Amino acid sequence: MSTPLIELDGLSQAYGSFVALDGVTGVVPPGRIGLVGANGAGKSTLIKVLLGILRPSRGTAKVLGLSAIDDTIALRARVGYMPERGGLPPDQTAADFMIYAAELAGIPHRAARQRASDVLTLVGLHEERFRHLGDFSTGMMQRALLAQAIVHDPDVVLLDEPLAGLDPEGRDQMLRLIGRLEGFGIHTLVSSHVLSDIESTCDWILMLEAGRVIRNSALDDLVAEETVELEVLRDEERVASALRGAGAEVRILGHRLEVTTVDADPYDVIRDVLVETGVGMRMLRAGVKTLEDAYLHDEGRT
Amino acid sequence: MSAAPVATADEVVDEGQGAVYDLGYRPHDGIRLGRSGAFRAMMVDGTRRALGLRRKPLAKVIPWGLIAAAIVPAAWIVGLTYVVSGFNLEDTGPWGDPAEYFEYIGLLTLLFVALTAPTLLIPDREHGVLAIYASRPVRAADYLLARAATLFGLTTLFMLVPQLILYVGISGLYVEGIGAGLVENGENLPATLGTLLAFVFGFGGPAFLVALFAKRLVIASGVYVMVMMLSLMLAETMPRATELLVFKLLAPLSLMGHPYSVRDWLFDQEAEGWALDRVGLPPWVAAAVIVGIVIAVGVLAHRRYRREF
Repeated sequence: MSTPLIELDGLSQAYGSFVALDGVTGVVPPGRIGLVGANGAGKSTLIKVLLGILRPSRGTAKVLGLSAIDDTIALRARVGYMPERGGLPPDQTAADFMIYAAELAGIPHRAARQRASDVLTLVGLHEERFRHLGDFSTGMMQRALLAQAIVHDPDVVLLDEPLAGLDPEGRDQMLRLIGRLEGFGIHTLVSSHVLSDIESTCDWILMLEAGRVIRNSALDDLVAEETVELEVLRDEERVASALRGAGAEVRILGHRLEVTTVDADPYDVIRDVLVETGVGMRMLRAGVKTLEDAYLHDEGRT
Repeated sequence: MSAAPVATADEVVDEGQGAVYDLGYRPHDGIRLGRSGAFRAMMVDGTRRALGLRRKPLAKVIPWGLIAAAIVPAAWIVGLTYVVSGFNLEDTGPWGDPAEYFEYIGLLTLLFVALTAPTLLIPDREHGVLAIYASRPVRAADYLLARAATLFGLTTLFMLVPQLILYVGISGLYVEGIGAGLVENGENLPATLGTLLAFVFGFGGPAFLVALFAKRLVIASGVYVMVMMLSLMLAETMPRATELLVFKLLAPLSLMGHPYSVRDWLFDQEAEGWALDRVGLPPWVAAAVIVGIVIAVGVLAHRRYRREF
């Protein structure tokens, strides 16, 4: 079995009275990981703990089997990081900064120059490599930040809100770049509160809410869950209550009910409940569950 | 480090006779230099930034202007001495005294340090670049040591080069030949180097401290120069040969005067009325205060930066 990408055990971090991470526990496999949650859910704090910048109040965190607390230097040699804001000196050219960013990770100068050129080409900034970073647009800056995160050939990159401030075209370009990283042998952890972006890029979801893990699963598991949408003519509450009594999870959306079952076939359960209650049905169809649905569902349960 | 194989070149566009190749991504299979490589890279980066190298032309004006102002008079003195005495010099002449040159270069050094220390520290903080350092195998102590070494190294060169021009240039005019001149003037070398270090650390320590906390370059430079000048004025307010305890306690705060006190001590000159001299404290106290300031700044710097890394 391959080494997990991330192992978290009872991880807690507080800023004074504000609890940013509250007993976060979970194992995340290698691949393209989406770290999702609302603003203030603890995403950036978790990333800083994984980099060893923040020392957690309690618990442990490992990345690629290395402790983020005790093996910080060894870990950082294998990790790249794209911060949410800043990170680029405006008075340096893109090429110079990439060379410097590689050398900071111990890459010798000659190899650093080659890698800087390669990654700037990769992110589409080769023509702009001799421009000062302060003259870059937001989209170019985000691509430059991604370039510095991979210039030293890390095994995993932590991307903190990489799509922030980008226009639709820029988002598309960035998502395609992130999607390519796995093919280079680089695992990714992408933090975002834009769920559709995560859905199109990642294959595993780590969902945080108020510093707690509310979901840690493969993205495919969301789709595989048996969810059915039912629209009834009247008495939604009574039908919902009966469905819950039959072991289903129910969300009421006006006249529509979103029904999820764990063990039983949802269509059988609905049929039995409608017969039992005598309520007429207008529509019945398989639910298309998106990451946003799952987030709203999971958030509602906490 | 990565397990991925070297990507082969893929032909992605082929129009007519031309072709564009995407070389893809190539993992780094070579050596990694570790923290020593990172330290060297930070030194080079700091030097370039302080001197405006590989930056826009405007960034070069002030540092190189100050360097020219420090060096040109030394060359001018050698030239003037040659005009007056040719190769018949029997002693250092009226302008070739290294202790005297510290009088002139001291203020320039203050300005050079006032510019360099904030340039090395503040942009990284204000532009969020510390986050990049924190994602590399670098500790806060590595970063701070590299920045301090750059500041002290550049300031040393700033003061040393004109002194070397004086030393070698004047010695070259000696009637008995350059060898005799180097030997005779070489007697001043320990005092010159000791004084130089007193200036480097005596001026550099407080500048580093201000740059640790200031948010803007101009403000940091301004505050530093103002504090140093005020500390000089403090000495002027003290009556000579005072025995009052309050002055004895205040005298070590006269930061600007300490390197000059060390100079007078090392060159065995009569003290020029610096604060320590006025209150009757021995000149080695100036050196001790400088060492104490540097240690205190080091501790504060580490406390300030450790949570960033």
